[in-house]
Amino acid sequence: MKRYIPRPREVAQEHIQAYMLEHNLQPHESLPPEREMCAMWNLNRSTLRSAIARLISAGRLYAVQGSGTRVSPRFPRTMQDLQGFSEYAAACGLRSETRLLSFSEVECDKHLSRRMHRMLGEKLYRISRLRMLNDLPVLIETAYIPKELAPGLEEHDLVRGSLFSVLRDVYKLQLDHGEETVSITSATEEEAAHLQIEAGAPVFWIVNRTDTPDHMPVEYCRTVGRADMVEMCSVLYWAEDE
Amino acid sequence: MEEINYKSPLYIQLREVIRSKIEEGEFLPGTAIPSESTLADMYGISRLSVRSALTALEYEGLLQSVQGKGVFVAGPKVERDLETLGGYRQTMRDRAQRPSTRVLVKAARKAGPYYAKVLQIDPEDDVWFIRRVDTAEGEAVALEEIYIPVAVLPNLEEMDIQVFSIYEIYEWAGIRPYRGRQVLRIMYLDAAAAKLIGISENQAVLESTSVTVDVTGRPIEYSCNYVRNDKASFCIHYTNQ
Repeated sequence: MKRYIPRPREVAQEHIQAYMLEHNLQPHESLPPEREMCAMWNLNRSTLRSAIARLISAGRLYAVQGSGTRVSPRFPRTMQDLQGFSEYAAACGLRSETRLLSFSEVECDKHLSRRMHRMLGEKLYRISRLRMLNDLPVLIETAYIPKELAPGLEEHDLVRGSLFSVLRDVYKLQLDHGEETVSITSATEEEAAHLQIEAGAPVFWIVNRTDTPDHMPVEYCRTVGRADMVEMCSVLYWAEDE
Repeated sequence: MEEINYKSPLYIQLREVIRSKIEEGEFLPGTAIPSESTLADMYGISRLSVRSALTALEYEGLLQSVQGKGVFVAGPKVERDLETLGGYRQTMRDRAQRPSTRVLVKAARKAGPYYAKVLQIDPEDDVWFIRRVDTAEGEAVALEEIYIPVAVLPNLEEMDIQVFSIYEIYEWAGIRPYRGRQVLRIMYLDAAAAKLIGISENQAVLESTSVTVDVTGRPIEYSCNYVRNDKASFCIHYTNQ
């Protein structure tokens, strides 16, 4: 049987990751001192350091000047559900805050027309909100909603209230299904300023659209998310054979 | 996110212009877009603004610059359609028909503390370790690392995973993958791994990790996919229960 011998750095990395799982280390909790880890796993210092450096690039850990290495905060966002941001935060026991960056009416252009199935020039509401979790800016969500479907939307509180519940409860729109695409883009200066990162840094680029049961698009949303804080989760099921 | 209008920074306006020209088919995949200086002249903006716009679009994978030849419209991304509508039908079936893959490592190793935990086996147990590069139309799209307990697929060594997908092999072994929990993150590969998929270590990749269990709830596989963002994106469908 052909055998693969993990390199020392891989071994060290696996020890650290196993330790994090075993001790259920929470965001911002520290790893043990380097000396202790070396002794525990019989590693030399430089191997351990290179494993730590790798886990930092992989976004699992961050270094604190003079006080070791800690677990990166990661907010898991579940894909494939219709839960609003505030509901999500409450369910995870996180403190959430929303800031309205802009609320405006725009005319449907070619790009939006194709996605929203609306004619050029039709009015759309455009709502851009900064989402914060535990006081950290995490996402900028920019949603488009046809004005025709939700006239007077500007009257509603979209900072404390959820957009989805307003659409459901006030406008009786049935949000039934959607599609979400995840990729990476680079933050523009303004996005970077809101998210407190450097302009040009890689960020999540999440585009989704939510429809009614009869496939009428209700919301089209583009989200920019901090790469070091967000993770996108989903549960996938294999198909039964037909 | 700022509304894009005439007051927006010029590079953002230009980014929108180029994005919609690509989406509307005015700039076709595989063709070069006008040069930086032409675009700068055309819209009366600085080359720096043009470059910022193009860099962002390259990041999104809409454009691809080729040394000494110019900037080209990239072909459509390989959509990793992970799951479809309707009570979670589907699937990773498309994974069963991957375009082509180059196997770099296929060997047994000791699970060790971490993979033992993830796969719920003993650290002394053996797992298969597979590292491979997925390509689409001759270009590297993703680096994949897969860990499968040897007890799950004792005969994997004789199977040619270049020819058959692991999902076919599961099927032959009577194993029914049932559910996978997947997490997407943004991260950086080390220089050696980045090189395998033709990018630099400064280029962020999408990392998708998942643990798959079979119908009995036993973990059968842990996989890590490092995906070139300019070549592939992840797509998921969701439904109201």
